[in-house]
Amino acid sequence: MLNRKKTLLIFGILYLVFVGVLFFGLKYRLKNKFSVEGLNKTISGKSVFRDTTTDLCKYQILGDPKEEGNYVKINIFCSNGKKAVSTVSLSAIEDRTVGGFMAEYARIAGFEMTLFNEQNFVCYLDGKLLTDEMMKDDIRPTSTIDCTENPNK
Amino acid sequence: MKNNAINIFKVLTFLAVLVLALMVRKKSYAEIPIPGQSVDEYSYSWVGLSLIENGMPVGISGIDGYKNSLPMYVNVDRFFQTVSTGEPLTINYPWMDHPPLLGLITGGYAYLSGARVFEDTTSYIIRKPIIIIGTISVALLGIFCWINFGYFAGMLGVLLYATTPLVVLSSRMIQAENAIIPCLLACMIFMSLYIKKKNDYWLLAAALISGMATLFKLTGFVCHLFVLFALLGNYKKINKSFLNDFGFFLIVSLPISFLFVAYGLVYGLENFMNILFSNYNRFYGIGPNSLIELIRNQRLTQHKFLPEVSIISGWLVFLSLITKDVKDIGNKLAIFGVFSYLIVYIFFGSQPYGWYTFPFWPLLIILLSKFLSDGIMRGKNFVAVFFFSTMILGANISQIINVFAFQAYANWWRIGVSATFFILVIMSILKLKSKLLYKILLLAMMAGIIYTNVQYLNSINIDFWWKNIS
Repeated sequence: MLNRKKTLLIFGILYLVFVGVLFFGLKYRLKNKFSVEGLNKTISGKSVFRDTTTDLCKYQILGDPKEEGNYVKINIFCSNGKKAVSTVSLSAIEDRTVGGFMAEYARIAGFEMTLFNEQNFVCYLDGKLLTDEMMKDDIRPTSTIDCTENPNK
Repeated sequence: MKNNAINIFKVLTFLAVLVLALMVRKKSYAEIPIPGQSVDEYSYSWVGLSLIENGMPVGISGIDGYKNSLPMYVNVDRFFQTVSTGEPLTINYPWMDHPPLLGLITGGYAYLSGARVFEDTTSYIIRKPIIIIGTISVALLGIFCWINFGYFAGMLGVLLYATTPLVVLSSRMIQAENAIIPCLLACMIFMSLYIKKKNDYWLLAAALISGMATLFKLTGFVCHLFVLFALLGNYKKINKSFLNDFGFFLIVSLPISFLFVAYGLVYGLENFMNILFSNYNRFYGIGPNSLIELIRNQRLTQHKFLPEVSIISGWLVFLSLITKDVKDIGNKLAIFGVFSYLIVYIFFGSQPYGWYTFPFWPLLIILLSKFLSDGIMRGKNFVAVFFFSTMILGANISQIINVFAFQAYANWWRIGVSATFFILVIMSILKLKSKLLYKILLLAMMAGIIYTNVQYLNSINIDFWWKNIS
């Protein structure tokens, strides 16, 4: 049989030591390890395990965000007949310029943004031809970006 | 010498079934259940990973009360391509929805596997520890049955729990309930040993494991409730011995649960209290019809159902047992376990997510195994045992072949099952018993159930999932 009083005494001492190590250990780690930049890198960093694609029509974002009036649609049409249709909530976009939006979309879908140019995509923002200068403009909620691959460009 | 050989054989067969349990859990574990249908799986792992990587627990919540809330698209497993609603994830920190122990296990494993960013935590990596935990649960269920009901019931329990399709699929999901299950089963083993042997070490072990259960999720308090019922059931009254035992148990278990508060204090008392109270006021989505839903519909996620006749049979056995004065310690403890979790389930109940019901299933399988093994080995309630066996086997067959393909075997089934019922009812009226007949018949049916369980599991691929599990 166990001597309960002795057991509780030993448990109490071990417990207090453990709580102390846990509390001050976590405090120390928080103070020395945590930074908003580091956290953002962990949250939105690109995975080394994830396949990146050169096919801009391979992946899309399903569904529609619930929040009304705070989204941008992006439709990509490839020359092989495939298309990727996505609606992205602007609440999740930090850089709210046209270029910022497209960079974030490329990150989510898993391709390099430079592929838009390299693969001769022609993009239109709400029916207007998207130029390099327009990339720095703020993106308007509910707008639509249509990109079409033009192999003859 | 002969006894030793028998014991070695028993242990080896037990281990062989555990290998089977691990194999069926491992097959297609990263694809089914479809990754992203429960984003909690990622959230738990992110909490652990961010604690290690950044010193700050970060996860998905959506509960009011968080100061730091980031809508983000983290396209791990490309689930925004497959099961997304289109809504970005709401990432919160410091994440305090639940204690971090499960996150530290799955996120810690992901970290050791090379994951450094959230997108690295694919199902292929993070589900590995949970299938090990699921296999440990199978072993603990078998040990409980073996200790309390004997080897045969233990083997039957292990085989059923190892292969029941819904149980297998559920045990691949990273949900705190899947970590609470082995704690509850271990607690039940320790308490049954304490009641039988009166050795304080078992009570101490139950206290340590109960405290640990609450570090997975606060519903881990099911273990505390279970120990209360087990001790009350043992002493039959609130006397000095009961108070001594329960006091000793609480003095050890509660401080372990309190570690969550110490952890919360590191990230700010205000944040911790905000989340705790927001959790308390959560939407009561299980509704007033939760009891019939528990018995009628077995869920995996909120919207994915897979009716599981073994579990429904377990509920029916449970209901029949609570109308009787149960003497058997094993059955009593399993019934206390069901009631303990029922109280927790009704009290904490929020959305009708499938995983909230997972801890009922091993307890019901324990009751079912004892019921079936009594029928097979002792001819007890043989008509009822045949009824349950036919119900489970028939449901399994209907999952494997459709009713048109079944027509080739329809006459075998029609004549075989009806004639067996006819003979068994006559035998029961005339009080005739033939243990050999029951054994051969029911063992063949058990083999059929296990075989069809495995066949059914093998047939579940992504196509099957989308077409049939709804």
